[in-house]
Amino acid sequence: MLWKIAWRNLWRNKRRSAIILTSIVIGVIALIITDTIYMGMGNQMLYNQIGIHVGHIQIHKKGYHDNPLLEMAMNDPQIVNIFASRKDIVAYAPRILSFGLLSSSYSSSGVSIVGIDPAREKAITLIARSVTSGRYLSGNATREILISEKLAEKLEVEVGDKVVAMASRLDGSVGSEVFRVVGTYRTFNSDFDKVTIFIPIEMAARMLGMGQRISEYVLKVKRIEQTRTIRDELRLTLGSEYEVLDYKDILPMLVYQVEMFDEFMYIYYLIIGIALVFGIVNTMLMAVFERIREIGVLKAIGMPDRKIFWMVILESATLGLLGSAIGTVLGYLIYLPLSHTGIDLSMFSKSLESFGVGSVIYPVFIPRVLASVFFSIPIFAILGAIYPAIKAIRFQPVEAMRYV
Amino acid sequence: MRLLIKLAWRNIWRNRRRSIITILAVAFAVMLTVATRGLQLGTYEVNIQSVVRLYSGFLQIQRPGYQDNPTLRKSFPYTKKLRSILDSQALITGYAPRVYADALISYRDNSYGTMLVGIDLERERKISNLLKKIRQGREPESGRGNEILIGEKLLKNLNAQIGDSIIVLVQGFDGFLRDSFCKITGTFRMGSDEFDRTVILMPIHTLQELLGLENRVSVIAISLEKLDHLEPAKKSLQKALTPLNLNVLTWDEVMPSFKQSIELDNIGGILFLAILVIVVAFGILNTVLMSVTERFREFGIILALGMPQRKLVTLVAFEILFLVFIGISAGNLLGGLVNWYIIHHPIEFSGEFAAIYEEYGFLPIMTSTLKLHIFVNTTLSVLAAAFVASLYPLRKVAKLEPLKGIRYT
Repeated sequence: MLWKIAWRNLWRNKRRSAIILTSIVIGVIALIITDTIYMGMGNQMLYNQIGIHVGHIQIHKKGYHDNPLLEMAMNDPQIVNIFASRKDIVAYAPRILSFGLLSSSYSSSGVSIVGIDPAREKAITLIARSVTSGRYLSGNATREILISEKLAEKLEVEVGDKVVAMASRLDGSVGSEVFRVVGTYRTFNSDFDKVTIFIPIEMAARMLGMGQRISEYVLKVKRIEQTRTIRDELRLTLGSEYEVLDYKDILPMLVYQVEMFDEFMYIYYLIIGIALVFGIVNTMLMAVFERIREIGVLKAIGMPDRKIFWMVILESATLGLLGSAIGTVLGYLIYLPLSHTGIDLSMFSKSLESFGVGSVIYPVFIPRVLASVFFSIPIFAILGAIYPAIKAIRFQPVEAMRYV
Repeated sequence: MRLLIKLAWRNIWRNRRRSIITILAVAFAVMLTVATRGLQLGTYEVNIQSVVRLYSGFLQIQRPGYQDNPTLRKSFPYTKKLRSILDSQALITGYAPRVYADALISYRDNSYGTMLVGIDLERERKISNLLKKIRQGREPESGRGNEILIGEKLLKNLNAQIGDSIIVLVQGFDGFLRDSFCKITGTFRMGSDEFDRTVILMPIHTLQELLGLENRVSVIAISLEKLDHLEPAKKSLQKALTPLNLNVLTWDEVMPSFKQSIELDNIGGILFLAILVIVVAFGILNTVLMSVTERFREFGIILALGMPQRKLVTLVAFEILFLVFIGISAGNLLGGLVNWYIIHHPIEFSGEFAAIYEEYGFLPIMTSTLKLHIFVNTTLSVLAAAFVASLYPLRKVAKLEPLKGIRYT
């Protein structure tokens, strides 16, 4: 009954309701677009890092993460059987990691050397797909090297040229090997590109004197939500000799930052909500004053204050809900094409690359966005109606009926 | 006209409650805009100042092509002639030559790729804060063997102590690899994780000798009194240096990604405020429309009595103007107070929040500014929004026929 009255009241002054509805709709659309863009940006930052290098889970000898030394190496080839036996791990790859100096005949650069098993690495990271000229590494023991476009430019080398890599060996002496550049790559993360080079794992082992030892295993899990559970289970299986870290352990800053985006969004909702409240208070006040005589009559024939209060609140809540619904539908319609084409921010791409995002942002709509809108906007509408509703029950019936 | 103004003023207080709420909405938007813009612009300026003083200098002299491909081969001689040109420039308050070179360093079993930065300690002291960031130990001296300063994080990563010697492997100017021992005399902490992990500071003569560079340098960093001098100083210096085939770059050309992250943040802020203003504009539209339609009978009678329609429209326009103006003034005042408070009590972050800021090379601090253009721009944009919002109600008044008005219910 109250709902019905509220609903009909809403349409007695169509223009007024339409205008306040429009402002709610615009607020909601803006919130949805902003929220999905930030979600997309956060996800891209995280997934790019995971996809470029970090993977879902990394396994090292205990203490390696704090102090990544060559001698903190693992020498247990049987360990892969554990990964292979689990259905929730879709791929694993061994790596040898070190720092070194890469020189061409013109110039040299400090680099982070990554020795990979090209076939296995391909199943986990995006490097194979990020090759921009030449090709990806072809085998485990070839003298091939994959460097970034940036580094190639700096060293003034092209695909086919020779470079010399140098690094400390496990025994402390300096090892060096000649490599041929077979390809260049480019990722969304310019800081990563600046320093990272890829060589076949067996060449890395030979150059660094590692024998059968490797620095880390990187794993890809079937569903990213399971990462934590798998990490904990692997910790139990592998025992205290190894450290098992997931991407949240390895990229704590980034994970925290993505969470911070979420918190910023709540402030956005709050501010837009407050701005809407002013409009809603005004509209509902007008709606109440316009009907003073009518409310007086309702009171005189015995309608309890409580019901009159709720009648006003419900009218406003309906506005809020309706506005949220229309806004969400329209916002989603705007979001849909954007999520396919992405939003090109290439004018800021340098900065986005150093954030590791990439210059095209693909907004992401998650259920949380829907929940945020439907949880916040109707509540602001109700808050905005409280003062007008109190006004409505404060009238004396007789005075109200005489009001002109 | 005076009568109209008087009428308009009285009209807005006929429905006091509604007017106050509208004023509050406008004031809220204006205050928030002024405070947000102040916070953004003030924080950018502090960051630019600090980054410029720490890393790039306000201006930098480079050989053409060095920015895209910073190698030793793009270095240039630091000559007496160059110095006399720099000394004669009025706006330049100081300058310091620097050499940058990549190197592999090793200590016991650990080796890292690092960047060697050769600095002229005396000159650097005058233009940058680099040497103020020493945490432990002392400054390196030239001529006393190869003394170096390294980042706190690098020292920790190397597992070394102050006083230890490390092996530095570099590719010299001639292309040959050279190695030599360098002694750690102290550590520094700049705040930027990347910098503290990879940079080694040393006297410029030591590095030039190590690389066989003779008197060549990679860049010359230049300091100015303030950011406003950037463009004139660049123009006049570039003119003098063009014959020497040298480029003058501003800090944002040297650090494009830093500049762009500021711009990205800036645009994000502006977009958000634009949305806020639009939402508030709809609030204004609603109020004005209501107050107008509510008085259609009254307007009808006035028109019937012979008031020109033009004047009636002016009357309503004045009402809107009063409302918006009071709102804008109150908002500017409150926003200004907020900014003033923040300038005197800057917001400092700590913990993880601070760490994120430092990771991207920003100071973990937020401050504000009272620059006039913030108030002017905010006022103009809210006025523009209010203008657009009142077009429809004003049109309704302009089209009102007296008889229809009188009969309007």
